[in-house]
Parts: sequence; structure tokens; C-alpha cells
Amino acid sequence: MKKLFVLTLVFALILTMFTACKNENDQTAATTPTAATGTTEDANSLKGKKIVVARWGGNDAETTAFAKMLEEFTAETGITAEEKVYTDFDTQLKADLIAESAPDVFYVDANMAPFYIDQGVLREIDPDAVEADKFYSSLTDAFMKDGKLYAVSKDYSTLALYYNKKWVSEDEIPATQEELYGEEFLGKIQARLPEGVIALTYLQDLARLLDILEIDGTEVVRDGNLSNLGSPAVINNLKTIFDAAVAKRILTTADLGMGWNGEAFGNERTAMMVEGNWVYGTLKQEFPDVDFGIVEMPTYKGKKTTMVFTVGYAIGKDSKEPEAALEFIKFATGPKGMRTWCEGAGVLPSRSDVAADMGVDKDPYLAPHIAGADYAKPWQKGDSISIINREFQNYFNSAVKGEMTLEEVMKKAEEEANKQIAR
Amino acid sequence: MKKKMNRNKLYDHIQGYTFISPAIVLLAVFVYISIVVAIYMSFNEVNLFRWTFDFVGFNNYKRIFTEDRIFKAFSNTTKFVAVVAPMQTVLALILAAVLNSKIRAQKAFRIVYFLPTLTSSTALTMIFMFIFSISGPYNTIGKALGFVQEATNWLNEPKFALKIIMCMNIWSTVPYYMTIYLSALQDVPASLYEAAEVDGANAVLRFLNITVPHMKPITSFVFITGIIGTFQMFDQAYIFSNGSGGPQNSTLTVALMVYQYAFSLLNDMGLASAVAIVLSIVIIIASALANKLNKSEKLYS
Repeated sequence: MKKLFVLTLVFALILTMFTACKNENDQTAATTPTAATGTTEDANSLKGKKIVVARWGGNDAETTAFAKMLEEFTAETGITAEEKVYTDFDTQLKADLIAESAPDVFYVDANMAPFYIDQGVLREIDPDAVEADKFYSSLTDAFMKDGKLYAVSKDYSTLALYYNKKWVSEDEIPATQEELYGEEFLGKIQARLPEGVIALTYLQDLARLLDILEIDGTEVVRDGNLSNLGSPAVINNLKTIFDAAVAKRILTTADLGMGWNGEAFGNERTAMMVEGNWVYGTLKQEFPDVDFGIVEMPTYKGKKTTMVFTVGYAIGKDSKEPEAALEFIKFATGPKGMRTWCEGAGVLPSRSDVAADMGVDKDPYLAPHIAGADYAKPWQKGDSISIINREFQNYFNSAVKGEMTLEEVMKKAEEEANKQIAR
Repeated sequence: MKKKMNRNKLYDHIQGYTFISPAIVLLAVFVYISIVVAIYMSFNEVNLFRWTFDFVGFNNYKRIFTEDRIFKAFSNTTKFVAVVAPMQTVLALILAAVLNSKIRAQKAFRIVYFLPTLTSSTALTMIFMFIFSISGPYNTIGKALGFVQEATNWLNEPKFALKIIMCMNIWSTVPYYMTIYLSALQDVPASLYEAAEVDGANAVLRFLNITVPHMKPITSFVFITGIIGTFQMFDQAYIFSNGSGGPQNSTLTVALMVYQYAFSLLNDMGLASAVAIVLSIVIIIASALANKLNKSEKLYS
């Protein structure tokens, strides 16, 4: 009997501890404002405040540039910003958001933005406070919902065609993707290559294929968030690349035994690749001997097309210092901070005025990437695209290997995804 | 006098509970409360971001028995357990018996065999992924010896992916169990072996008739821990498939799927809890069966 009593006591103690914790959280959530507006606070009153900014780890150039930007921010505003690096970004961020201990400011990939916005974990940001009108509109649109802004784009990348000058000259690169992936061109290049080198690589990833699949207004998502990969229009648009893959005119980096395109191209295992500008730094630093050129993506079905990727800064709903957090975003996406970041990390500025200041469009290497921003499709498609993409990646290779037809594979990938999306 | 006794006893109790309270608190928070909450969540549709719980009855459990993907995860895991757990046990016992015989450089062999267990499973997975990648040694050696026709990226072959993980798991866990067997083998009286030898029993007969029966309680332990460990296999499948369970769901284990439902975009903690609970029930039944099978002829009866 006594044992039971003591046990009950212990449990009661733990329970009260838990409820106490939860109540405390509820109170703070109730008292903090719902939206951060940057116009009211006097900058002086924010001096000495401390915020935490979460990002994912990048290359050395990015780490240095980020540290430099934080220093400049503190020098200008007196707010201390501490960097927090997540290794498994979205998983760790979600855990922190659920535990209500998320950082004040964190990266949000455009692709993940609809999910976080839907879950109500991002604070609304006043577009005027961050001069949203100075940004390329497709980059701000990626973080908007129902006319409200939830994150501010920090930079962007587009895909372009990289070629090794040892084997390919610029003027022979075709103007259309139909020719690029065709037997004639790739066969001609392949004939010059030594054993073990492929003419062109590709990725089995919707993040790289979305613009092609949707080139003629076709949608890979139907009925709000269901997969539409099995539709004849999508399959038809995929045909050009698929045929090249089946004929082994193009290979994935895994087929080459390489980790990713930068490694394959740098080690001269592929003569050409379609990559984002993030690869540029790797090629320059790790493979300085490779002489390469970059051109805009050739047209597909008569249209200019490429993919654009962007990441923004968002403020967590549990931030204790939303004003200081907004100050950080204003600085990091303002002319000065963005310039420091973009010049240091070698990425493209999301603001047209910063792009003009930096003169990036004059840079022969970056110019093809910047030109792409005008017509590129953002990598973003509702909150179910990750599942749709996972099932696509799960099954696409069996079509390439000829175990199933492309139609069967795409239908299968669609059904598997939709079972999980529409419960 | 009686009263004093009681007070002493009460004092003892308080002292006792104070000493065990850290363990009780930790167990309560991380085990017992978690189990209760998981059971509760398995009957709800849960959104942790918004902290909403909508009661859905047995809906989550119904989905477990109707969705192909969940079925595939359970069938993958069952296959994995059926191959790995017995192989682990048998190989560990054989290796231990060999190392326990008076062969040369016994210590050196023990160290060499034990090394994989000391290596982190992440590193092991990377090594195996390299071995079976397109430019890896398996293709090179296989081509030279003629059992591989064309260099293939085996990691991308649905028929091979799970088998590679099986090999890896057996290879890395056998030494651990072998060590347990080795220490138990010290307790088998040498006189038994000598007597058997005098009677003309060869090494195989001695192993089957003396070592195996004497190791029965240890086998029981090894086999059951093996079953539990393999049913919960997560890390190797996660690293191998980059969290997706591909190619074609061939490396999707139950634990990996629970992770996907709970923490990746699916954001469905209710279903994840339900799957986890079904998995625990399966493990409990499997362990009980294994125990029963092994106990049928007891050593010390």
C-alpha cells in the first residue's frame, strides 16, 4: 500500500512538472505579437539584444561570407546574431519548432515554404519593411500566401549547361534540348571521348525536371496536391530525356560511381552537365585545371526554360525577439548584407538593385545563370511535391533499365504518391 | 518499540526511493510516459506543429492493414529478420567455437573479428556502399572472376539493395555475439570434451553434442536480442537510401517508415505511433516464440 502511495506521488510530481512546462509555453505564445512590423521599433532600443540564426552548412566560402555578414550586422545595429548550423536541416528545424525552441531566424527553402506556412510556424513579414518591391518578383512570390509574405529570399540559383572546353566548343552546342539529348549531337561528342567518360549527365529528380515536364502548361500536380505524373502530357514531355537515358547517351552520376555532378565534371568523367551556379565555386577551387564554359539551357519545345532555386530567411513564431529578428532580415537581404553574402559565397543576389551594383550580369560565368532568372520555373509545388518526387525517384530507374515501360512506371509512381497524400 | 520499528522502516523506504528516483524519473519520462502518449496518439490524427489531436478511433490501425507501402515495409523487415537473426546466431557460435579451440594467434583473431563492431554503423554503411558501387571492388573482382557480366550499380538494384544491407548487418553484429559466446564457452568443463575425444568423437560431433547444448541459454539470449535488433533496423537503411527507402521501396524497413511518417513531410505522428505499436507487438510475439522454441529441451531441467 505504501509503495503504491509513493509511486503515485512520484508520478504526480512528474505530471505537475509537465503541465507547468506546457502552461508556461502557452503564456509566452499568447503574449507575443502575431506579426513583426519593422517600422515601430527605435533601432537603439534593440542594441544588446541577441538572436539566433539557423542555416545549413555550406562550403568554406559560404561559411566565411556568412560570418562576415554577421559581424557587419552587429557593427551596424548592435544586435548580436549567433549562428546555428543544422546538419539535417528540415528534420532538426521541425523538432525545434514542435518543441517551441526554434531559432529566431532560419533558412526556408522555397520548396518547403508552403508546408511551413500551412503549419503556421512562420511569422508574417511586412513587405515594405524589407523593400520587397526591389526583389525579382518570382523570388518573393515563392514565399507568399494569400498576399502575405512569410520569408525573404536571400539569393537564388538557376540551372545552366556546363561544358568542358577540351571536348566541346560553344558554337556546336545545339539551340534546343531536343537536339541536345538527341543521338546526332551526343553521338558526335561521345565519339571524341576516352573510355569511361560520358557526354552528358542527368538527374532522376523532379527538382531538375519540373520545368521540362510543365513546359506546355501541363501540371505535375492535380486536384490541389495529388500527383499527376502518370498523365500522357507529362510522360510526353519527359520522353526526350527518357529516350536518351534508355539509349545510355546520358547517365546519372551514380552510374559513373560519382557522388554528384560537380565531382563527375571536375574529374572529367562527363563532358557536359546541367548544374546550378553553386557548382562554380567547387570547380574553381577544387578543379582549377578544368577549362569549362557555361551557356544558358537550350530551349525545349520552342521555349526558353530552366529551374530556379531560392532560399529565404523566415522568423519563427516562437521568436522572443521578433523586432531584432526582422532587423537581421532587413540587413541580410538589404543592399549591404546581400552584397557581402553574394560576393563572398559566389551566389546570385535576389534584388535587382544589388545585382546591378555588383555587375554580376557582366560576369561571363554568371551571366547565363542570371539570364535564366527571367524565364525560370521555381522549384516549388505545394506541400506534397516531396512525396511525389520521392516516389518518382523510387520508380523511374526501373523504366530506364527496361523492367517496366515509362507509362507503367509513371502510373505506379503517381498511385504510390497519391495513396500517401490522400489518406 | 513497535512504533520505532515503523519509523525506521519508513525512513528506509524514503531513503530507498530517493536513491532510485533518478532512474524512475528518467524511465518514466523517456519510457513509460512515452509509451502511454504513443498509445494515445495512435488513436488520433496528430499535428504536432499546431498541437491538435483529432480522435479517429482505429483508423490508423486500419491503414496499416490496407496500405501497400506499409505492407511492403513489414514484409521487408520480416525477410530481413528471417535471414539475419538466425545467421548471426549460427555464425557467432561457430566462430566462437573455432576461436575457443587451441588455434594459433587466438587473441589477434579475436581483435580482428571484433573490429567491425567497434566501427560506427554509418562508416560501415559507407564502406559497403563503396564496395557495391559501380566503381567498387565487387564489380572489379566480379568481372575478373566472371561472376559479374556487366558493371552495375548494385545499390540501385531493388533485388540486391536489401541483401547488401543484410550482409552488412550480419558482418557487423556477429563479432559482438561471438564475444558473448566466447565468454560462456569458458564455463564448459574441458573434461566433457576430453571424455568425448576418448570415446572417438570428432570435432564436429563434439561441437554438436557438447558446445551447442551447453550454449542453449546463451543462444536464447543472442537470438532474441538479434530478433529485436533486426526488427528495429533503421540507420543502415536510412543511410543506404538517403532516407527514402528506395530503390522501389526495397530498403524500406518499418523503423524507417515510422521515421518518415513522424518526422518527414508526411507529418502524421498518429499513424507513426500506430505502426510503432504494431511493430512492438510483433517483436514481443516473435521473441516469445523464439524463447519457447529454444526452451523446448532445457539444459538444466
